[in-house]
Amino acid sequence: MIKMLANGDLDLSVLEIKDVIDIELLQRFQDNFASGMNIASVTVDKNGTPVTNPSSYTRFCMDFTHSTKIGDDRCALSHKKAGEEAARTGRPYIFTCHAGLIDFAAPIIVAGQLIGTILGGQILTAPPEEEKYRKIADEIGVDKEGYVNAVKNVYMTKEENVKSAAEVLFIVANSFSRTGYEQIRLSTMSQTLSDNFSQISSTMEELSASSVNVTNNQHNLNEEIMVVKEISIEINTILDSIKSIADETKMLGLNAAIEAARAGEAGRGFGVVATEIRTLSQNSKETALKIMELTNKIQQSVNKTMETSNSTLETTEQQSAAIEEVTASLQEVASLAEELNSIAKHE
Amino acid sequence: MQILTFLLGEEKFAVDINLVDTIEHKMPITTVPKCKKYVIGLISNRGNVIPVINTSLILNQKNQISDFKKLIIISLENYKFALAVNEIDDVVDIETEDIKKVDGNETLSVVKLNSNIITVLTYDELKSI
Repeated sequence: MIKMLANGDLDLSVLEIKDVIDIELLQRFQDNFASGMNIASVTVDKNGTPVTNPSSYTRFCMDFTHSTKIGDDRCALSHKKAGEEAARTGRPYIFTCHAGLIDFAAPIIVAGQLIGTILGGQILTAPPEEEKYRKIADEIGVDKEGYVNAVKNVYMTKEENVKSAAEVLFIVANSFSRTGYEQIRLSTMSQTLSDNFSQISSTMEELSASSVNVTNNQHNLNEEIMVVKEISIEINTILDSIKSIADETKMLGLNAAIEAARAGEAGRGFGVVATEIRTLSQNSKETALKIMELTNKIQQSVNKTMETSNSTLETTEQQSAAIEEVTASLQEVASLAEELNSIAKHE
Repeated sequence: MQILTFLLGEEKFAVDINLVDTIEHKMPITTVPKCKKYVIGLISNRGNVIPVINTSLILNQKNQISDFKKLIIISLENYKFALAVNEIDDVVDIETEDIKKVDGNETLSVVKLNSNIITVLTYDELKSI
């Protein structure tokens, strides 16, 4: 099973041989090798369960040794021991099986972890001693004569040949598994890369959109501030009119006072009114001046706000541009990552 | 009695309100040749053609003012003229006795107003122009 650990590495404890090796390819290789070399073989996973069909198994093994439960169990135990030895040394292990044939076990290791074993052999390096095989046949409960006949048909070769055959299977199977393992790593890495880039790319797009939003808002803000400024200028114009009305009222009040004074005693009451008018005009003028001070303050504040707002606008525009550039670069990288991913996935 | 106070630059002066006809905004002044130095020119006021006096000049101000904005129309028995001033200030009530003649000058009068002594243009003073 291909499973990723939280840190992004492959979980080797659940990695199986079929994850890293194309079993069909292995089977073809194993069959051809076995018939070419006259040496039987089978590949088992780390639990000892066969993952390939046996290639070129001898009659001695198929029809006799494996035909009884005792024989089968003894074979299994023998394989297990050899497999463990091979795993321990990390090298092909040549041994004599419980039935007296020469066998080998070659470990398939990826990243220091045993994922399977190639078992093979079923040959002899010396002529068989009939007595020994009669005894074994007796032990496992098969026909003695048939067993002896079968062992005579077992292929006989030199021990170096067995070693070489084991070495070849070891090298090829491990090379297969290493390539497969690297392929998985490459594929998962490129997938992660591609996923991350897609994520970054879409985040950047969001960022880009929101930065455009900020810029637009800032533009609107600027316009609103300009409106406030224009209104305050208008207020000042109106205040100018109020001031000139106050001046005019003062003149009227003064002229009224002059007329009242000239009227003497009869004009006294009118004189009081004239004074009130002058006071009123003075108050109007003072109020207008106060309002003008306030509107001037508003204008100053607006000017400062405009300055800040303009600099903000400049910054946000620069940010938008930068984000767009980054987004464009990211899209290029993301499409590269995707290409890499599709190359890695291609088998 | 009442006096009309006015400004020439920073300085405050006054005129007997009974001599004042009206006050007016500055209006176009027609210059005339060969007239006295203190006459700026002529204006038309309520059907009369009257001379405009450079008040700063007749009052002998150290810093001569020329930026006149208001005119005080004075009426003396059978003739009128305008005093050109910067700004009309106020109409103020005073006691007639508070107007003092200045020693050694027959026509010059002053009044104490808010602890400032200001020149008051009286009938005698204006008549002597």
